Amino acid sequence: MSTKKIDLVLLIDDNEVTNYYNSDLVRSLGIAHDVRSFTDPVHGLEFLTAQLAPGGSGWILLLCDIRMPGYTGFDLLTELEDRDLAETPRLVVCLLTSSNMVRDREELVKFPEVKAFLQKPLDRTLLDGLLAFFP
Amino acid sequence: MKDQRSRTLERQVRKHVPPELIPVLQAFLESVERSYGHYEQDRRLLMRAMEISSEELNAANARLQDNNEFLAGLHYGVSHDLKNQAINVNGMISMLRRDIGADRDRLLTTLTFLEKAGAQFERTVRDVLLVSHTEMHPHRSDLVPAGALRQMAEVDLGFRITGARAQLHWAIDDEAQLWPQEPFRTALSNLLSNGIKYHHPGRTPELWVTMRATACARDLCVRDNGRGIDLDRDGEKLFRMFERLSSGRDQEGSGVGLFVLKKLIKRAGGTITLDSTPDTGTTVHISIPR
Repeated sequence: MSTKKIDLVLLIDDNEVTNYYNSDLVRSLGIAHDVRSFTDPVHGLEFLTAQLAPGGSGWILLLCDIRMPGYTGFDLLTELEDRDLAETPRLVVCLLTSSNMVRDREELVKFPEVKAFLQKPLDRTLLDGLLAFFP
Repeated sequence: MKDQRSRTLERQVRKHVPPELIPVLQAFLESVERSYGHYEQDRRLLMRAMEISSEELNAANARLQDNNEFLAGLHYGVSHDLKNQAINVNGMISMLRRDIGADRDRLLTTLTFLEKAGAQFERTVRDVLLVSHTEMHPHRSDLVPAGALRQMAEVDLGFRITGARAQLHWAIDDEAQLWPQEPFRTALSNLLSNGIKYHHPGRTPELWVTMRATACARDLCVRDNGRGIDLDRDGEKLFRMFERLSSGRDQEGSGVGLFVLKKLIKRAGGTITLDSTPDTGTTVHISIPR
């Protein structure tokens, strides 16, 4: 497998089994130095905000679920935009969902920072494809 | 009584029309009048028929819209929750297979997650079945005394009430009055378990249940001192299928409770309203006409 191109993979999904599987997959492929996962999107957002603080460095891949109770992936992206962090060059934003809802695809237009809209399950091929976004 | 205009008309007719034609003309006018009468009657019938068919059309339209929403919700539940959980079960199995020779702790962790995935899967299947069962089956109209509804609720929720050290306060105006079983049993089990599940972390869960039977309706009110709901933010999501407002592993269920309840109440011709203040509690009123 390739060298570690990504410094941090951040997984946000309300389902802990999904996080367990995806973390393990990312680790086993050896593409990232660090993998963190959050079932609470608000905690995930705070963690990401801290990572993106001025003066920080390192490439970050955010893989975020869309449909979560109380707080959707789109809510999280909106908040990220409000904090002027969505366009941070060293951040690659991807949405990961199990439902291919037209509604969600239409919503995507509002979030140009989303580099990929992926269908679960996450796998090696999808992650290989995402590596193209990193130098 | 003839007015000025028709008298003038008559004079002119008599002046210009030969007398032998007058009876013919009269007969002709009478026949026109009769057909006009028929026409008026037909027109009224037609208008009424159109009104009825447009009422029917509206009703059919509303039913179709309901059905569409139902199907969209069910599709979401199946395509999102169920698919997600199937993916998770498969994921855990593939990890177990890969790690079969790994250390015991790692295998046990994955097994624990497999169990979780399996349990979530089962719960969603159960909820999907409950929703479609509610949709497909005609509503039952059997009646039970108010006191029996209270007993059923206490039995249904017994372990949860004691588990959460919740306090229930019942106010039933007449235990012998008959109430429709299906909607109210579902309402009690649903609202009480919600009140316990979403209790306020800082205080003992307390629930006040009021059941009042009047000449024209059965009114149930369930009030709790739980964490409450921000209705401005989440109000419209409340009665949607497969919608949960808060996350956390203590929240079981995939979000069909209030959806099914509303369906049952609507079907019985009743209404449900919910009022809530964050950090203070939630009050739900249900009224079903007799």
